[in-house]
Amino acid sequence: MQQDSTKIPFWRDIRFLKVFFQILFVIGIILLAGILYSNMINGLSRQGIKLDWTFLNSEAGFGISEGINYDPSDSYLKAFWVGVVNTIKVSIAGICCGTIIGFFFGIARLSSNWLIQKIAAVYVECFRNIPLLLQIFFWAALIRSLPKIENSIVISDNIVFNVQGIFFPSFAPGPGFTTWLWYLLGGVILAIIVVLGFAVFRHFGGDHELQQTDRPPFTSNIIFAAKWAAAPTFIIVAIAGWFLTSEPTFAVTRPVLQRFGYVGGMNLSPEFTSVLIGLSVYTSAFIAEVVRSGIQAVVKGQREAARAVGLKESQVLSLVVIPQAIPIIVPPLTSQFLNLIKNSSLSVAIGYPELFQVGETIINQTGQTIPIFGMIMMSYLIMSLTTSAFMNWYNRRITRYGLSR
Amino acid sequence: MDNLAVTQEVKPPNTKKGPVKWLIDNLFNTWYNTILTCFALVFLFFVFKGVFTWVFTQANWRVIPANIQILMTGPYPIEQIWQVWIVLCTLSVLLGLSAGIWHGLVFKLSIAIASIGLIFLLIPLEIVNFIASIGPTFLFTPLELINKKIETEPGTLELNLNFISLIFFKRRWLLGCLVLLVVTFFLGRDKHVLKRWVIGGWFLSFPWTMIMLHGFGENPVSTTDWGGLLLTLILATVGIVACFPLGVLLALGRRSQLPAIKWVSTTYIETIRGVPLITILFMGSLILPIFMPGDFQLDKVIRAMIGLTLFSAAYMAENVRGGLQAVPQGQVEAAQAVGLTYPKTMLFIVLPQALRSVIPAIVGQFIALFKDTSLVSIVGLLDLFGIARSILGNPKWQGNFVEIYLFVAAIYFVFCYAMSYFSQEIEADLGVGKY
Amino acid sequence: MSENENITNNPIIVCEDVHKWFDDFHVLKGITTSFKKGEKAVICGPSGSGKSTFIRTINRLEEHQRGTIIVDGIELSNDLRNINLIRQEVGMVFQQFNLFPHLSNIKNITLGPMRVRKLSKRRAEEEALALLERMGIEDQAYKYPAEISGGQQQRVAIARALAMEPKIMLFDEPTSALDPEMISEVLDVMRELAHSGMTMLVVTHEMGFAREVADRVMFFDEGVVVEEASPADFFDNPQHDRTKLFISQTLQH
Repeated sequence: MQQDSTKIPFWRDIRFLKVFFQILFVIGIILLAGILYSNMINGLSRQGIKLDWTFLNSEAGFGISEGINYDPSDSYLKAFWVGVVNTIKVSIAGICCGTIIGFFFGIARLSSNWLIQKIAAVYVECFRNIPLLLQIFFWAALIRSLPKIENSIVISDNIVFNVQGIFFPSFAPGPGFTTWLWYLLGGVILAIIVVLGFAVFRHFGGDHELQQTDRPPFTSNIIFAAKWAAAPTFIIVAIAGWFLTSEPTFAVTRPVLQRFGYVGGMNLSPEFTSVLIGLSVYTSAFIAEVVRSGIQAVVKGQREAARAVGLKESQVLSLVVIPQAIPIIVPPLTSQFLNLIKNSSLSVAIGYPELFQVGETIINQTGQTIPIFGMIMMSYLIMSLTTSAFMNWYNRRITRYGLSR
Repeated sequence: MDNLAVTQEVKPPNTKKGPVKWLIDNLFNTWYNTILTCFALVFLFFVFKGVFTWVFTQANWRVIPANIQILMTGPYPIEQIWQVWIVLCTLSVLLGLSAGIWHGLVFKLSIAIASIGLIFLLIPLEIVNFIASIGPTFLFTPLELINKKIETEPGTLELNLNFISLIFFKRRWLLGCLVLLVVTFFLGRDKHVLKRWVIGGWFLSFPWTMIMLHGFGENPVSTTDWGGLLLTLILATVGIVACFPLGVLLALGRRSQLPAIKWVSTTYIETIRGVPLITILFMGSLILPIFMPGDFQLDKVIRAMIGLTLFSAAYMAENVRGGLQAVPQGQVEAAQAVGLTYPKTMLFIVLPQALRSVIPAIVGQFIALFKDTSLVSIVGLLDLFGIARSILGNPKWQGNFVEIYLFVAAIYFVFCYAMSYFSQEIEADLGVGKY
Repeated sequence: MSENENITNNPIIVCEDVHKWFDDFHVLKGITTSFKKGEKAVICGPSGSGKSTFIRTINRLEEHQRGTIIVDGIELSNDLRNINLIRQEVGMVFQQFNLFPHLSNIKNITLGPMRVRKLSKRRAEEEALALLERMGIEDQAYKYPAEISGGQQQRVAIARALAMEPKIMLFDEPTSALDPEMISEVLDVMRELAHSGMTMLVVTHEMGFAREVADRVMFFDEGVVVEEASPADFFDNPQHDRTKLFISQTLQH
C-alpha cells in the first residue's frame, strides 16, 4: 500500500524486518528441535528402544493396588486409564473437602470473635508455609503408625481405623435393586410426558401474561413445566417404587473382621487417605485466604448501603456481600483447583497408584519414556483445561445472571 | 431546663476501658460468640495439653542434635565444611554493608538474621541431649536428683558448661560471621560511594558461592555431595535467579506483535503451567539424558536445577506479563517520541516499572519454589526433606518421624513466613507515588 | 499578533493525501497540507475529528496507510532508519504528560540525550538544567514526577522534548488534563517557545492562545480539514457552517 517501498533498502524496511525476525526465530526453534530429535534417535538406539505406540496394547503384568476393575493381564493402556481415574478420584474428593474446609476457615478469619479469628489464622499460616510433600509424608507416617488389625480402633461397631486405612459402612445394591431401577426409568418417562403435557396445556390454554422472557414461548413453557412438574413426578414414582419393591433395594454393608483384616463397607486405603488429607488441608489454607480477601474486596460502601436499606446483618451477607464476593473468588479459586490437580501427582512418593505413578511403572517396564511422558502431560493438560473451562463457564454464568437464579 | 442540660459537661456513657472491656468486645459480645469462645477455649486446652505432654514427656529430641550436621549440609565432607562457612562469611559481609548503606528493610532483615544466628550461637544444643538422657520427666525431677545423676554418670552429661570454649572453638565460624556482619554494618554506614561495589558484589556472590562450594584443587566437592538445607537454599536461589532472564524474555515474547514469537512463547508458558513440577523433574532425570549428545551426561543436581529453572520461568513470565500490562501505553509512546528504539524502550522505561510492581508476586513465587524444592527428593536428591527421609530410613530413628518432620517443617515455615512478611513490607514500601 | 519574521518559505512538513483507518473506521480522509519552517499551526476540532491522530502520524506513533508524509526532507515510510531520524527531529508533548514515574525529573530529560544523542552525562545534565531554568522549575530537578504539580509535570515534559533539540514540536492537547490555574503557566512556556522561532503544531482548545500565537488555524472535522485560515480570518470571518458552530460553542464559555 505504501507508495514507494521499492526505494527502501530491505535491511531497513520494517515490514521486511518483522518477517525476517520471525523466520529467523522459527528457523532457530526448528534447528534446536532438529538437534534434539537427532540426539533422541541416537539416544534411543543406544538404549535399544524403538519409538512406537504398539507397546500400549501388550500385557501390563503388574498389579495396581486400588482403583477401577483391573487385572495384571490387561493392557498398558488399561493400566494407564486406571491411573487417570485414580487421579480424578482423589482430585475431586480433594477439591470438595478442600473447598469446604477452606470456606470454613476463610469465614472464621473474618469472625468478630478474636479467638476464632486467631485460630483460623494460625491454621492458614501453618499449613500453607509447609511443603505439601512433607505434609503428605507426615499423614502417611501417622496412618502407618495406627494400630494393627487386631487392635483396630472401632467406633460404634461401624467405623474402623487401622493400618489398612479407614473403613466405613456403605450401601450396596440389594436383590431388589434392578426392580427398582425399572421404576426409576418409568419415573423418567412419566416425568417427560407430564412436562410435555403441561407445556402443551399452558401453551394453548394458559395465560400468556407471565411470558416476559425473550425465549420462544413454547420453550419457556417447557422450562416452566420442568421446574414445577418434573421433579415431583419423578420423586413420587421413585418413592412409590421403593415401597412397591418387595425385596430390599439397598443393603448396608459393614466392615467385618475376617481372617486377613476387615472386609466390606467402604475402605479408604492408607495411601488415598494421606494424599486426600494432605491435598485438602494444604489447599484449604490457600482457599481460606482467597475467600477472606474476596469478601474483604467487597467495598465497605456496599455493606453500609445494604444496612441503610434496612437489611438485617444476615441479609447483608447473603444478599449483598456474598453475591458480589463470589465472582471475585472464583478465578483464584480455579487456580487453586488446578494446583490441587497438579499436586495430586505427589502421591507418587507414597505409592498411591495415580496416573503419574502408573506411568512411571510402565516406563520402568517398557523403557518407553517419551510416549508415556507425552501421555502424562496430555492427561494433566486435558484435566486442567476441562476444569478451567468449567470454572470459566460458571463464572460467566454467575456474573451474568447473579447468584439468585 | 434544656439550656442547663446542654451546658453541663456530658460524658459519653459506658466508657469502660482496659482488658475487661476488650474481653467483652472481642470474645463475649454476643451470645453465640460466648458459646464459640467457650468451645474454642476447651479445644485449645486439649490441644495444648496434648502437645505439651508429647513435646516434654514423650518426644525423643535426641534425634535432632544427632543429625543436625547432615540436616544442614547433607553428605558434604566434614573436613571441607569451612568452604560453606567462607560462603556464609562473604554473604555476611555483603549483608552488613548493604544494611549500613540502605537501612530500611535490609537493616530489618539483617537484624532478623543476626538474632537467629545469635540464638544458634548461644543455645547449647547439647542441653537437649542432656535432657533426653535424664528421661522424659525432667520437668518434675528434683534438682538434687539431677545433680546426683551428673555426679554418678558423668558419661551421660555431654553438656559443656564451658561456654567460652563452646563459642570460641566449636562455633568459631558462626561467631565470625556475626562479628563480620556487625563490623561491616558500621563500616558501610552511610557510605553511598560503596553502593555500586556492593551491588556488584551481590551479583558476583552467586558464582562465588558455586565455586566456593564446589571447591578447587585436589578435592572438589561434587554437587552430588551437596545436601540438606544448603542444597534446598541453592536450588531455590538458582531456580529464581536463572529463571528471571528467561521469564522476562518469554513475557516480552508473549506480548510481541510478531505472531510466530507470540505463539511459541504462549505455548511454552501454558504447557509448563498445565503440568505438575514433578513431571518436569522426572523429564530432567529420564528424558534429558536421551536428548544429550553422545556420552555427555549431567549430574542429577544440575538436571534438577535445569528442571526447576524451566518450570519457574513459565510462572515468572506470567508474573512479569502482569507487570507489563500495568505499564500504560503512554509510557511507550513517550519513549518512542524521545527517539528510543524498541530494546531501549523496554530496558529503560517499561521493564523497570513493570518489575517494580511485581516484586511481591516474585517473592510469592520464590516462596512457592522454596517449598517445591522438596520435590527433588522424589528424584533422589538429598535436599532438606530428602535428608529427613533418609534419616527415617535408619532403623534407629524410624519411630521418631514426628520429631524429624516437625523440625524440618519448622525450618520451612520460618523461611516461608519470613519471606512473606518481608514481601508485605516491600509492598507497603512501594506504595503509590513512592517512585 | 505575532507577525513572524523567521518563517521561511520552504516547507518542513509536507503531507499529501494522508489516510488512516482504525480497523474499518476511516479516521483521516486524505489530508493534504504543508507546514513551513518556523510556522505555528493550531489544530482544533471536535473530539473524534482525527486531529490527535493526525499529529501522531507525523512522528509515526500512528502508521498512516496511504499517502505521503515528508518531514524535513525525509520520507516517513517503513524505513526503520528514517523513522528513528524523524523521531529525533520531532518532539512531542502529550495530554497526560507521560513522564517516566520511576525516573527523577532531570533523568526524564537527560534520558534521550544520553541514550539517543549519546551525550556525556555531564553535558546532558547541564543542558537539562538550562532547560528547566527556561521552564522556571530548576528547583524541581531532583524530585520525582509524582511529587510535583500537573503544570510543573507538563513543563518537565516540554523540557524533555526540547532536550532532543528537535526542529518541530508537536503538542497533543497539552493543557487538557490541567487544573485551570495551571493552564497559564504551561501556555506561557509555549508562548515563549513560539517566539523563539520553533516550528509548532498544537492541538488545543485554548482559543485565546490560538488567536495570539498561531500563524494558521486548522479546523478538523470527521477526518478532513474543513477550514484553514489565519487566526483573524478564522475567528472573525469563518466560512463554513461547521466552523461557525464550533467557534460559537467554544467561545461561549
